[in-house]
Amino acid sequence: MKYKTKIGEVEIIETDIVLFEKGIPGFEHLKKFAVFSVEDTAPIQWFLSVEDSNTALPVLDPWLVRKDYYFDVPKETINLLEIKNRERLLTCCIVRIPSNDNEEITVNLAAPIIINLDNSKGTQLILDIPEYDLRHSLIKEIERSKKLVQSKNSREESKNAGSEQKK
Amino acid sequence: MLVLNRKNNEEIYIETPEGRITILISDVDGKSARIGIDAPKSFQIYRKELFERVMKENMDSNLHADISRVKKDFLGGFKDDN
Repeated sequence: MKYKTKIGEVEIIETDIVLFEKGIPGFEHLKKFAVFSVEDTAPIQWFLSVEDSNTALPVLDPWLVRKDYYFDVPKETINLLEIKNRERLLTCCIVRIPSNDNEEITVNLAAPIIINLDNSKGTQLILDIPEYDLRHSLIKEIERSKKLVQSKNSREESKNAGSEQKK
Repeated sequence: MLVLNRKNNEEIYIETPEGRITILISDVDGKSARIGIDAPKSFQIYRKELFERVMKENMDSNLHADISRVKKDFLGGFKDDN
């Protein structure tokens, strides 16, 4: 079916619509959303309301910007979303993209959206973890992740070099 | 709003269709109180300030979603990355 959204008229398959029983904070009146990919804006995707054409939040796979992102899914959420398999969870984080170039683009790592792909139920978690904030600079996160990958690679290289010497 | 006086280690029961919520005043020290809450699994409990910050941030991200900037800077950054 075609839906009018903030990013234009888009075709959304019914099975891609996710039920958020309590909405998300600030949008409690909206229950049906879809995570929609647009080639032009990839890797930014859009968390679209199919009920309100003025609601579309840019979202991102958090592991693209924070390689070691980790959180526990609380028990009440496992019950709420009837999660049986953690691998069937889709996680995305909301991005804030101000028009003013002087303001940084930020990503919200403290409140990820999670969706159980097995039954299309979703919720927004609120993590009370000190290292995750509502606004992480996207550029700094990417830099940090690059360094993390580099140091991991160099550790592996030196490990490999060591084992070659033994031969 | 119902207001009750409670001392240290005293509790309040809230009976709900989903079970009992127990609120314990575990410590009172000057202006701050430590509160323990026991609730059925379906209840989600948040600090109000944090919940409100998430609410504001969600609404703010809906207003600040400049697609042209996504294409311009953000994608540029990612291309360098890969």
